[in-house]
Amino acid sequence: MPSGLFHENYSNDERIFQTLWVKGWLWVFILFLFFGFPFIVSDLNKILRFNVLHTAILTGIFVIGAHGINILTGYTGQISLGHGAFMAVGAYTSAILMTKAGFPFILSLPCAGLLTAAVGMVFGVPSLRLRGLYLCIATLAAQFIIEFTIRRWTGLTGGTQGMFVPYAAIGGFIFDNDKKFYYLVMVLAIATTAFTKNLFRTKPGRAFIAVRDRYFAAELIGVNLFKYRILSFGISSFLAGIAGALWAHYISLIIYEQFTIHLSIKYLAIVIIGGLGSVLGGIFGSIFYVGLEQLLEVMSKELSASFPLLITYFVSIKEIMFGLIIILFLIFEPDGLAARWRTVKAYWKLWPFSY
Amino acid sequence: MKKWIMTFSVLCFVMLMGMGTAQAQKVVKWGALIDLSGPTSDWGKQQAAGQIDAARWINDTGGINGKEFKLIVMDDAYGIDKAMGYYKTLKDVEQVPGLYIQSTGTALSLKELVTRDKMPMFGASFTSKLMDPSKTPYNFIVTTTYEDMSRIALKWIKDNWKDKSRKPKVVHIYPDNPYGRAHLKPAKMYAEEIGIETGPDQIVHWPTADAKSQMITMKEYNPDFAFITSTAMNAAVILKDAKEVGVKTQFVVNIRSLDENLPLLAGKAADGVYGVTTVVPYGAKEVAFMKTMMDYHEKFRKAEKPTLVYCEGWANILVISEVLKGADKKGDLSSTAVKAEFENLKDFDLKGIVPPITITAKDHAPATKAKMYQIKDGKLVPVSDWIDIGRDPKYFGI
Repeated sequence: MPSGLFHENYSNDERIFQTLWVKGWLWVFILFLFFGFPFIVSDLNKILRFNVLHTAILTGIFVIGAHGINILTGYTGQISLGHGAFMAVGAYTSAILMTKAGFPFILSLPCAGLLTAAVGMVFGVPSLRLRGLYLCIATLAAQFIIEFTIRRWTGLTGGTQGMFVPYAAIGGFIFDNDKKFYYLVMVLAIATTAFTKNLFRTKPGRAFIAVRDRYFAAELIGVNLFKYRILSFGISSFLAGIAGALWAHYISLIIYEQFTIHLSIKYLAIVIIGGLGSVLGGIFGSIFYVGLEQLLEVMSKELSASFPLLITYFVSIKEIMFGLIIILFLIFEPDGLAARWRTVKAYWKLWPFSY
Repeated sequence: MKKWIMTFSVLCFVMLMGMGTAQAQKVVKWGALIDLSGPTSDWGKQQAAGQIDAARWINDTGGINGKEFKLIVMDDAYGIDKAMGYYKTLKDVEQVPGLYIQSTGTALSLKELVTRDKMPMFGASFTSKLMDPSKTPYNFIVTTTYEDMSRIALKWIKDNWKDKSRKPKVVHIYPDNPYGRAHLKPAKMYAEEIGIETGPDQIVHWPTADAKSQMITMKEYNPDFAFITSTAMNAAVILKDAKEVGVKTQFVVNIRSLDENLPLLAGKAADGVYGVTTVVPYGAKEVAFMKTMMDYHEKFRKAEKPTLVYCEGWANILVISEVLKGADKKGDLSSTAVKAEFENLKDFDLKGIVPPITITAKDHAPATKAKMYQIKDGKLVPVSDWIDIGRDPKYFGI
């Protein structure tokens, strides 16, 4: 019996679950998500005074999207400011396929992902020649072109009126309330997380990391830069498309205003807060961002209810607090929440005998 | 230090939660989603101020049949995704029997949802697209619709048109969103019907920073009148730019662009501009109830400059409190009972702030009247009597 964790071969080193404990805790967590959490939301609502289930669903959707941008920005090193627009492509594709072409949800969801992947790959082509901030501007173009197209193609997208999206349904089962939708989102979020985690144990995943760390060296050892950059854009956009489709079916009305540059920046903020180049980072970032938004909102709501005359001040304070917390966070934890998580874990592992 | 901050923030949070839960049982709630930090926040802040002061007045004068009236205002920043979350919070956590929604976009997007949830929605979005109970049974407003008001403005233009040799020419200026486009179809239909020529639309996005190119394009067509659908803040930019490029057109602004801030923001460019509205300007002497409103404003927000939007906020709360009182008297404060009470309002007097309203189960449009005002020396002066457009089935719900 070894007295610690020793990696004796490569496959050992690459294991997802380093110890049985980690695996056990993860299962406990997943079981809680499925069989514990949905049954205590009404109590949590009363204590926290905001809609917990709604927050959980939004977090789940953002986790999927955040994994997408993490693959592109965190792992391949290509900054994208078009992620919000890619989400719009997924949302509108799923909605249009269901309402106009009569596709079932089970088909329209992957189609939304695939079409978004295709669009993402087209806008990823400049990445061959451009890098860093220049690529950023090229993807910014994607944001504006897609947004403009949606706003003006009234016949297909409803233009500025937006379009109403039917409920998601699989077979005869209709996801017509938040609780049912929560399960759908959780299943997809967990599947996406498993996919992302495993992606970086495969050849393309390793190629992504090589491209990020030193593209010139990567090319010398035989990584086809163009292929893997485009592939990264494709996978990233695929996940954005899935997130967008889920968003559309959840919010039940989509309009271009939901997918502006703010959403793209929000995604970047989520992965930066969570930790670039870390699967856990996307999850932590989403929980932190969505949770903080809700928490500040409930504070401003409760304070306004008690002091109605000061409501406009509370609203401004809320915005200032939000910015302040994020700035402070980046100053004190520049590597993101994932890094903090590792430190905390290391501390408790040896507690109380650490030195 | 760290520990101190932690303790302090935890304490704050606990206190906050305590405040939220430790209320008396006898509370009647109502939710409001108002833009306090987005593109229409200049308007939203006035609206919120009016509603909050009116709610205070309701509580000072006996509450809802002796129960406390609690208005929960949340800032949706004119965004649909935020509004969606707050809607769910208000519905599931606060369990309000109905809510007020400012943004037209939000109202249009939530219309299917409120119907599904049977949640009465009282709104600032005066579009007649929400006034057909067979399609949107849970949507209500306080006064004449945008569509009717645009037609009233057109009717006034036609009635005062002297030159018999040609038709008057009108151009619509609006932002490219559901609010901006709401009145277009009925207004153009009506213009054709009464003999007004409609020119090419000019789209000016909000928040508006510059409208010169649109004004130059409009100058080529040279319309007699231009109807602005926007907000005061954005309309002021349009008026100033029009003056700068030398547009001779007479401007007519809609209810959301006409308030006491317009002459302040646009300066000389606002002189002589016409506007259509149903809300009485703040400080108007002919309304007896104005004194109460002014007293409350003086007492609580001396530093702010009120506009007619503040008065509209009062009118909204007057309707809501009346409805809640009615439902409470019957002992049923559920959302469906509140809806039924809305449809019971008959010639309900709003103390002169807006015309009396009548809502039925067949037609949710509360009134069909409006007045024309003109800006003279920075003041809103009425230039017409109440113009009643009537309930024409042709224009119902489009």
